[in-house]
Amino acid sequence: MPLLDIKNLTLEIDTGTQVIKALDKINLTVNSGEIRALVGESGSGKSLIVQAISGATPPNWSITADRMSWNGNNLLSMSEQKRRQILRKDIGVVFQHSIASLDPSVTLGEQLEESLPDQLIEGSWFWQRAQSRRKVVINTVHKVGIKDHEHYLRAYPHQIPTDIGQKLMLAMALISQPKMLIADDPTRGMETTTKVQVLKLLSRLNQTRSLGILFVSHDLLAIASMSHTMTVLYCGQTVESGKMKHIRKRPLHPYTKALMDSAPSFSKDLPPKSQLPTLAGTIPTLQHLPIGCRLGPRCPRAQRACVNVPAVRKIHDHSYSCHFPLHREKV
Amino acid sequence: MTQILNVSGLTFRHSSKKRWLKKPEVFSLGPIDMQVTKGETIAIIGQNRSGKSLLAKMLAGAVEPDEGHIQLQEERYWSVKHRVARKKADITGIRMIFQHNSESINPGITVGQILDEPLRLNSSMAEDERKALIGDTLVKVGLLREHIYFYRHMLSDGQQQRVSLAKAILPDPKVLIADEPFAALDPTIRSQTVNLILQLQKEMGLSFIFISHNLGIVRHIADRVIVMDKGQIIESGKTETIFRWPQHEMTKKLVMSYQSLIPQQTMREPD
Repeated sequence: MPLLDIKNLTLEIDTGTQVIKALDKINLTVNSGEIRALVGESGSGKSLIVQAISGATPPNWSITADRMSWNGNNLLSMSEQKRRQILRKDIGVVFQHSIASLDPSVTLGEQLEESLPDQLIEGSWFWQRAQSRRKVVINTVHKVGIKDHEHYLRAYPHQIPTDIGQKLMLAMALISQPKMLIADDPTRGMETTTKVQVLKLLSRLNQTRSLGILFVSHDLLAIASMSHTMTVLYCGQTVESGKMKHIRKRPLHPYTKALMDSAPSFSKDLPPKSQLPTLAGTIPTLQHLPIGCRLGPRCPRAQRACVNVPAVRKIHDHSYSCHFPLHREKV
Repeated sequence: MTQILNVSGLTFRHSSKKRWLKKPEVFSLGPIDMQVTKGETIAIIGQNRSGKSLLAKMLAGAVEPDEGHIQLQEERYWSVKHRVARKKADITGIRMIFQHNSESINPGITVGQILDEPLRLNSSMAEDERKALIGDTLVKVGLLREHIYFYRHMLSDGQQQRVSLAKAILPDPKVLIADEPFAALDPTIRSQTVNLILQLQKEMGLSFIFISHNLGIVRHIADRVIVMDKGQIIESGKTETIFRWPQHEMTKKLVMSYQSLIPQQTMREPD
């Protein structure tokens, strides 16, 4: 049974003057022990999905879904309290803006100790418990690659550089030993060696503890090196989803292909300094979404039929939604 | 191959004052020597806090070096010993694109005014000449002439990047310096920017010095790579040489971690 199972998730934002469909029928599953990558550019609604799962939604958002379940329990119909328990115990979330999502008035050490659940602490007397708590915190911080714990655990969020903040966010998510980790762009802006460290840590946790990971990012190199399955989003629509190796070998949707092409490391025979293949135009804003297939205006293969939303089609476990996919001849 | 920029002995020292029970923080950069030829692309790579951004700022003149001099085409551009006031024409020789490009655009004035300012202050062009040049430059970077009436919030990420680029290439510089120009951009927009810079380089014969963490792009567009660590240049050379035969420990570490991310021809089977 999948850990997280989402079917036809639609998220609408009421701006007062109009209702914007920010997510349009998203399907997503994460099995236990699976690393699922969620790829998309900014404005594609990656972070909205993360927020919808974590339940941290403003009042003017309305979420509807055919199915949104955690381990077989329906997340949408359960009580607020139960849902919070699940989030606390089983799901670890790394938010995008690490320093902004830390409490500015409390030291990092205290914040970490606070997010450590009681059942993971040993000892019965308060001094033993304090000691054990401290030990777990320091271990976790070392595990995510912060060496100078003396300094950083005593620091406040404004005193630390961004990459330390990102690692600390990861430590906070992992300290409660969750079953699934949702990481929203955890390697953003990191330089390569640090990034590899973090990715290795995640894959190791995935293998040893069979941690399910929803890895949200647009860094295709990082994704390709660690994830098993991938879901590509564009402007709030699922574009393609399937096994990483299938998608890498033969993307079916023009957008996936454009994403793959944008990383020069993937194409070995690309002559240096040549022009990279890319899509024309820019990502539309949420207020001005095109109708039908939202890639339409930028797509090189678009035709008249693209004003209707394409249905999801499946080839084995590789699903895509496009009227004129790449494996078919241009009509 | 004409040499365009010659940097020698560039040094910067920073030390915070020693306080009671507090160790003084010492950071020194350089001495740095580098030569840039016309139309060349140089990438600066290195770990965080290795002084890459500082070097870029010193080259562009945003931070004053403590020692050394920068020579731009025979003319002495910046020198500590001879504190020559830089001539107006010199200022336009080296231009820079800053790290957070959207934050370096003034939200309160229009794109036209932003682009007009460096020209008005540094050149003796008349107003209509300036206006024509701004229009041409906007077209060159793939925007429309009408974009001079736009404010920052009306532009998308990619368009903001283009405005930054237009701001930099407006006075027809010889050298363009960019600090992480591609980091904040989405993949497809990033490819567009890379293409644009390659094309501009071909048209204008620009030398381009940039800092990046994205070694894939470095490998694709750079002619030479400079590796920095702790304020020193530890290795420099042709891109392929650095990527294939790294010499220094730090370079090896960087290149190895990059190589480990690239999927090899035989993909490892998941599960």
